[in-house]
Amino acid sequence: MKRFLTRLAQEKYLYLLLLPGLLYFVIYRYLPMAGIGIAFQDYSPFLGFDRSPWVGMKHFQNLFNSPDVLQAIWNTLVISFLQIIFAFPAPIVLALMLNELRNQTYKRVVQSVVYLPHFLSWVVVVGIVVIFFRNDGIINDILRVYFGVEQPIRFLTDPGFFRPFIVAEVIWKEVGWGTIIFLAALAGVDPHLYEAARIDGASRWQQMWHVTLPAIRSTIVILFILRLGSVLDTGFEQIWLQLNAFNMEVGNVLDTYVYYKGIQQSDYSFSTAVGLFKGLVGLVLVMAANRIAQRYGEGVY
Amino acid sequence: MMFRTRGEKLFDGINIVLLALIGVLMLFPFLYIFSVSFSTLQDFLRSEILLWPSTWSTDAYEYILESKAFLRSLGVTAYVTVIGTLVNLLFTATMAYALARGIMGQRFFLFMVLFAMLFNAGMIPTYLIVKETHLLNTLWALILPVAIGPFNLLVIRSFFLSIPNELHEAAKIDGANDLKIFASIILPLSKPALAAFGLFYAVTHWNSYFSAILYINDPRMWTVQVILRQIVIVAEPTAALGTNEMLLENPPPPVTIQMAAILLATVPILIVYPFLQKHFAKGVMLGSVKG
Amino acid sequence: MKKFAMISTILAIAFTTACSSTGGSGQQPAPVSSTPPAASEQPSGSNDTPATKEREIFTVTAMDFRYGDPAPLDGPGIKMINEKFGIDYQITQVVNTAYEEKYSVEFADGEIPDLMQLMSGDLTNRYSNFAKQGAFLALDDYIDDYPTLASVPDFVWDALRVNGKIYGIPAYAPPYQTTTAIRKDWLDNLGLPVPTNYEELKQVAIAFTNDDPDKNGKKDTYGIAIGNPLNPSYAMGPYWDPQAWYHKDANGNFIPGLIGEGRKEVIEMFHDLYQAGAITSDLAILNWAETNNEFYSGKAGIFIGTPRGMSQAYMDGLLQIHPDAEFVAVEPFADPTGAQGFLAGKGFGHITVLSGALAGQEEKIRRILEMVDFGRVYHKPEAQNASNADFDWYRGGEGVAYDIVDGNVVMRDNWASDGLSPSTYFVDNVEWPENDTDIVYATTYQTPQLVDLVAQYEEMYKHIDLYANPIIGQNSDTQVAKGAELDNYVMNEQIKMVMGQRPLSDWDALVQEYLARGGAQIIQEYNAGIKNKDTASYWQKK
Repeated sequence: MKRFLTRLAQEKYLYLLLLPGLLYFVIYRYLPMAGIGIAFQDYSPFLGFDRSPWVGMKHFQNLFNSPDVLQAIWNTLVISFLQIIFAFPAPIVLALMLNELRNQTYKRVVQSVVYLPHFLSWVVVVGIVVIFFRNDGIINDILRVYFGVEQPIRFLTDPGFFRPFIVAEVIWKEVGWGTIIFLAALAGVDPHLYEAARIDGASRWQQMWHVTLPAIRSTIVILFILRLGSVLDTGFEQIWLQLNAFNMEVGNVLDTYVYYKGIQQSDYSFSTAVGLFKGLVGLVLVMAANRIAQRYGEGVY
Repeated sequence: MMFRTRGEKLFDGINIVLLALIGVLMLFPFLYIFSVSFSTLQDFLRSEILLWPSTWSTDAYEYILESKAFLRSLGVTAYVTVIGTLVNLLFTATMAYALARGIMGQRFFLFMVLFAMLFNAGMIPTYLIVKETHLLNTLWALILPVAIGPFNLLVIRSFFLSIPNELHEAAKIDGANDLKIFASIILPLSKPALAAFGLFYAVTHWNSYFSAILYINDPRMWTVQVILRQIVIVAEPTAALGTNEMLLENPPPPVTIQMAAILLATVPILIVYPFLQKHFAKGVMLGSVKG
Repeated sequence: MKKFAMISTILAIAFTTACSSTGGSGQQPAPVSSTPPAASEQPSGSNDTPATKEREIFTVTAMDFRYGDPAPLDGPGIKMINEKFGIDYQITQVVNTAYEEKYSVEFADGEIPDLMQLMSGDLTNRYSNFAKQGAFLALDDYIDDYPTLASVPDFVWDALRVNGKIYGIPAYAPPYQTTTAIRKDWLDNLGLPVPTNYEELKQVAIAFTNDDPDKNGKKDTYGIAIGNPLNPSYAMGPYWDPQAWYHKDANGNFIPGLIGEGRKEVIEMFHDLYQAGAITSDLAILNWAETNNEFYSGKAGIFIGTPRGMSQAYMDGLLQIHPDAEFVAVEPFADPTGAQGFLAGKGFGHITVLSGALAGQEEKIRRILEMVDFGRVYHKPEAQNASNADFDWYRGGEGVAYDIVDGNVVMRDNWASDGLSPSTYFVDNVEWPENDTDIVYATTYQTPQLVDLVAQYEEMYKHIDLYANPIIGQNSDTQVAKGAELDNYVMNEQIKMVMGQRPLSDWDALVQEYLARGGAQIIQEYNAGIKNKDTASYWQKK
């Protein structure tokens, strides 16, 4: 007890700094969590928590009672996985490329341009994709006129193209925006370290390997671990806009699957149950990844 | 004096070219949106890809800018964005720092933050709390309930962790307490991170739509995105379960107006970004650790 | 209903639409019992209301979805309403994309508005569920007291019954569905008649593709414009309409049009057209806006139109590309039984409800209904001017909110954004006409070709028969629970058949799949409530 009080006294200013955020979390994040119960009810906004009937695990059973859900979860994991492999490193690479530019003006210009796609909504992005890649679209026109490809390539209905397109779109849209964090991390690298390395005779590559990357290693690790937390999130809009009769088997993800199930009724209970499921999976992954990371001196907590 | 080998010059050249290509790739859709928004609907129907308007028309912009509600929402949203971002940074940075100094119970608090990132109670319970805290129908409802993004907090914390301990030691020896260290040493050193996350928070505020509708009844306090959806059918993918009848009542909106709406909503942030960019420059830590 | 729900969901992909809150201009003649205000004040429960006595002021909370410049919370229109009806009117109006969430939180909060509107698509789920839970007030006893309610036909009221009682007031929707329109100029150029059956339609589509109907020497046109998911359905009668329950199974039960013989015929035609390149090749991916573009950019020659809700802008766009374009509305085809006509719309769209908590507050209820009734009154065109006090009040006053230009009512630019017109604030501001043909839409457009096309539609609907969908007013829990998914599945399989990815010979297998995945229950549940199984009797003959 005494130790507790001494430490409290020592760290009192830190606790002061902690206080506003703590209050925020308690009031606006944890108090509402009492409402998680609606995942176990047949919740009706009119009846409210008090009068809505309790149904136990019904919604979870409902979620899993169809064989389609397993396919949806699988699709979600595959797409997430592809995104982690390709879309996650992309901003790092781009940030490094930008970092290597010597002409600061050119760097500023490019930086200002690459983050633009982030601001477009998926509706707009998919609209543009359709214009380009539909059977009567620009790409097929070019293929036909300049390359003699008679039959249009079915980019948008062929299931084989679906996942690559999704990942490529995400990369295109987010890579620029994603560099911001890394650029910020790179900004904190002491230039003296580069000088020291140069004096030691290190080449550009060696400098990048021994100075730059280690400097942003912590950032990369933490972003990676946190990314795992949203492994079952693929982003509803982007996928839903591009689902069609032909790519349902590879494209129907958890979010779209849930949408079809709950669309007719504003099923808050069901969507809360799904949210719980997603959160649980994310939590397990994050905790596991964190444990691994801790062995290397990194980690979220 | 730096020597650059032939290989490195080649690398530089490729880098520049690649980045230019990437830049163009990112830019052209905006060019497209720009030109469609300044075109007439007829030109758009005639040929879908317009990289430059054949007949310039400001009809789409007039349609939107004539709306008093739109102009007012720009002001409201700007206000919420500025104040909101300041609140965000204040709440986030303080807590992140406290949790980067080995405070008692730190792991517990960190887990609490992580948990909140993964689990969300949902729209209705949050609404009830917002109501209980008397924020309904005020702009604070757009600020306080989202004061901290757990993800942002955890990453900013990792930036704080990378600040060398020697700085703290030195300051403590000089007699400074944690508050002083935080305010006068840590924050200035963290400008890149603060600029980056300030930008993230700002963009989130700028785009806020759903909370504005949910918590605020007075149209005068609505944000840009809300007004745009009111006056322009900013195409929604899952747009309400509109029936045949609803479609019969409202035909597809001119694409030109949709594009103008997109540009108008985005431009303010585009203007802000360059000012923050300089904080991502190198060498901020220069000279902070001596010897 | 489920067809509505499914098709509507998918139709809504590209669009946020909200109930236009305009009292449209140019409604046309017909005698309707116009209600002078005094007469609609019914003797209320507790107080007698001699003209001199003060009326009790009720606070009336309301919620509505709207599109367009938001009206201020305290506009002049509100003050006018408060004065006229003796209430303190507080209405919240939000864009319809977040409307459902908005009222959900209000409900959860215990703040149920006295008066609110539900969307048309909510009929079988939210409306029905909330009514069963007691959220809404039963209105049966009040209907006869208010002229615009009494004039609603029984079959419409029946659709709104939950457990036998009526809980909602329907907002008028015309019976028009989307109907096929063809480029008349192209038909003329090729010397082809307007098709009267699907075989002829197919030939026209193929001719449009191969025979250069726009006579520009290029093969840049084709037949039918269609998008995802097989929308529009080009149903030329309930026999072929995926939404109509017209066909019957071996047990004499109605089955959904989606799996009927007629649909099969249409799918086969689409398939043949796809082989011939005479139908949109990207039909599997285009959204509604993009599908419209196919027709309005002059590429496709066959599309749809409808009296209400055509886009002037798009039509003008097309006319700039093809100035000689003309259009013909295609009459319904005769089916094998000889019947000819279209599926009737259900006759209403949005639903206005009163809070169940009002039960017992007779005077307040009547005050609210008085207001609701007022907003639904239909004024003949000759009565749409300042000399008609009700009309003038409702629109906000001539010279203030509107002007009369060439005999037409023209609303001023700020009529809604400044809240000048009380009509902006009425939850149900759609006039309920005595006859469907009272409201003429053709004159709401300016472009002559569009006016002509719409006039053709309106003329057509005057003499064709309409088929009342037997499932209207019926409920199926399985449809609500699984319908969207199931219909989506069948639709996707049919798309595959059209594009040749699945053989047409699989049709029967597909029907079996539908039945096995829940379709059989749906059919059974609906038919359990349909007492009358005589198809012919559902035709509303003219």
